[in-house]
Amino acid sequence: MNDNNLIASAKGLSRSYKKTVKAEGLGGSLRSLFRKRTETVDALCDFDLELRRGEMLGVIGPNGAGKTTLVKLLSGIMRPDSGELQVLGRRPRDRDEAFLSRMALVMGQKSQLWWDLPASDSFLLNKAIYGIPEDRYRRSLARLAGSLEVEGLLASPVRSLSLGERMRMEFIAAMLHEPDIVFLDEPTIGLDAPAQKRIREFLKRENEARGMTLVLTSHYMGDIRSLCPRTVLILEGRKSYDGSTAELFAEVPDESDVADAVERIYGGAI
Amino acid sequence: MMRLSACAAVARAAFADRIAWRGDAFFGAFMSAVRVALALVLWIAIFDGRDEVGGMSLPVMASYYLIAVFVFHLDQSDSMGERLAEEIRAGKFGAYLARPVDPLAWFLSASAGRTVFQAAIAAAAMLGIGLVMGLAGTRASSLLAPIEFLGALAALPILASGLLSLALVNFMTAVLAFKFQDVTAFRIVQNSAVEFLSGALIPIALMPSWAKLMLELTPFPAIASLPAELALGRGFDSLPGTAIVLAAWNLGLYAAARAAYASLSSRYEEFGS
Amino acid sequence: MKALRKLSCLRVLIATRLSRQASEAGSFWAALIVDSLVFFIQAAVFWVIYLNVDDIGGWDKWRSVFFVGTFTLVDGLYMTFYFFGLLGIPEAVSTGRLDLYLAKPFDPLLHLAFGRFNPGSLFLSLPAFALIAVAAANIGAWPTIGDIAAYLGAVILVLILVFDLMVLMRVPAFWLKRLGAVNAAENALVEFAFRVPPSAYRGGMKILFRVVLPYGLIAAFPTEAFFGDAGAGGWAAAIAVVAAFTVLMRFAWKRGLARYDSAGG
Repeated sequence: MNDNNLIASAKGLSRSYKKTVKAEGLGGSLRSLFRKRTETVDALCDFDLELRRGEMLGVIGPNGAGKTTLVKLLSGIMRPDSGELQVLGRRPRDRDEAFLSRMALVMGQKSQLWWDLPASDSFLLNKAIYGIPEDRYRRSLARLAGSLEVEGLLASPVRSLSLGERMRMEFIAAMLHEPDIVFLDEPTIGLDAPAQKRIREFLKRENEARGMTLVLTSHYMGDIRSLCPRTVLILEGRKSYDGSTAELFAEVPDESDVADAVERIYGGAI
Repeated sequence: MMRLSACAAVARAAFADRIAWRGDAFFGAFMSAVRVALALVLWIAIFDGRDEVGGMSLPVMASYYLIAVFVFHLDQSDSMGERLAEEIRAGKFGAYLARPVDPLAWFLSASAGRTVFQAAIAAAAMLGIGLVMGLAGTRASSLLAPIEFLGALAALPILASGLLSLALVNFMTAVLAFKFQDVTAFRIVQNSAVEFLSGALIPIALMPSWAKLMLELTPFPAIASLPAELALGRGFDSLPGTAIVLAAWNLGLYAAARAAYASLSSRYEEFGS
Repeated sequence: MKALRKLSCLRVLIATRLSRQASEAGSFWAALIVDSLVFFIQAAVFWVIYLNVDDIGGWDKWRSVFFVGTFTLVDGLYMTFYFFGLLGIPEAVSTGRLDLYLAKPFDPLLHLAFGRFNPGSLFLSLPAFALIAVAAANIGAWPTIGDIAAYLGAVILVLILVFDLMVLMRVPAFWLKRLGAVNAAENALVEFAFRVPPSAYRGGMKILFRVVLPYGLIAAFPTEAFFGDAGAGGWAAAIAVVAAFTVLMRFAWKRGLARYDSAGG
């Protein structure tokens, strides 16, 4: 990456999966015992991306398009089959401490909090993992808890919290170490409208206050429109659009589902 | 109650499910053979320099153990019980409630389907071992005592009754998940106890007489020890008494399983995703 | 990650886990009951065997009791520290739960392993020590400081070995969708290691169960170390085997992570 303002750069990124295919019924099962058939699914194909510091990027597409695969490649969870990828000046696939300590991952469908304990216990564990000094930890926790309005809930077991409250705790856990880049995979899934709005406002504040870079996948128009000036659309593993969110969705009502919106724009292309 | 055709369909689906993943299926066959081989090493070690232990010669003991391990691991109701308990705990039991499915009938049918698959795998392994030992010549083949055909036939209904008893016990353990959520501890305790009490860990013939007498009044020896003894041409005298004991246990356990399900399932709460 | 910070993370992880366990008294007692029953059953097996024979491969009853006590001690220790954590590797891989471990600057394997620390299993050490003490007294083998140090050193060595073996048995989860047969293999090998004293291994079996599939070392090596039967050669061989399996384990784990498909989402 030559541009000093570039935080992430991907060239020709590709990743595929092998899927086992079996005919139905007992006969199919017996046949597959001796002759396994597989199909290769291209989750991401020849994908290019440049991301600047402080940018808030929306990644959209239908289910199975490759959005989550992209996030997992960028965060180092998976390795690409081919292509070049750098985030924070490192190769995510190496998963070195310099990379992991400056990034964060929030997944709407997976939790890093201990279910039976107060969220504060999970925060203490992250404090140790990220090596956050005590005073910085206290400041960060106070700021995030205040911003997300959960100060009174820190001592409650996570299992007793509502979904919206749990997601707010997930954000605190992910941002205690003040990461430079945050990957968000459907963070508002299942939340009601006020909870979604609260999360969006929080993310905007964090971006403005700390210049935090954000990569967000979501099926909600409200998330993409209110947070992401730039949107990348992925269809069947390939980039179909990379540009202004406002231009992409100029004719689309705010309350549409992203998939409906994309279908409307691209007609039968999906 | 479920229709018989539905039960057969469940059994077929459970059979197909077991063979759907071939790595596991082939490795399972290999492991059956390994389990048997390890058992032989153990008993050869114990018999070092001895002609008999507990009234059994090495060939008889080795054959007993081979058969006991083979039949004990035919049971698949334990893994079905684990799956059922997990579905209850994860709030996925509603799939049974929303369809004309009798959970107990489904459980027994699926266990039976998987047991048939397991029997095929184990039979292939046993055949392989028998062929290898036969090919290895006289010295190796003297490690095994011959199996009596009539005894093996008589063992089948005994074994089926024993497996039914065990399946009913496993069902009751699984439905404890309605009350306790996590029943892993119950399952481990039960499995360890059953393995010992069935004679699969150590032949019941080696135990003191008071222990043998007590075990004869339970269904557990029917899962391993008794079929092995019958296949070796021993234990025919106790057959009538055993049949009565097993029938009584199966009836009692069936009633208990129905009662346990009726009582505990009322606690069920389906969780959202 | 610096070693000190790694230890600090482990300390906090175990403390967090203890907090969780303390809030669930039921599971604490359940683990204790399970461990105790498993121990009693294994002891009963040996009791029945020795009702019928005087020795197994030259090992008399008390030497076998020492062997059983040692296995129970090792069993209790690994069940306390990492057994349940490592048991969860296949589920973490198949559900994608591993994602959140990979996204943190802390060794995901250590995080998984020690994240299910189970203090209830430590109580197994009590009957284990009792068995060891009774057996030593009956053999007339009062240990020196050196014997005890050798014994504890050997226990630590085999705990590392068990860790390596458990991971190696679970790394196939990155390739195979189901591990039922692999679990069965491991159970069979562990049970075998527990039930067959090392005096019974001869020739090829010795190489097989002490080098290739070194389950035979788990209880045997500390027992031999205590009675001074290990010798310099035995120690060198055991250390070499553990080192080799540790290297193999790390290699296999890295290969598995490279293969990881991250389910879900």
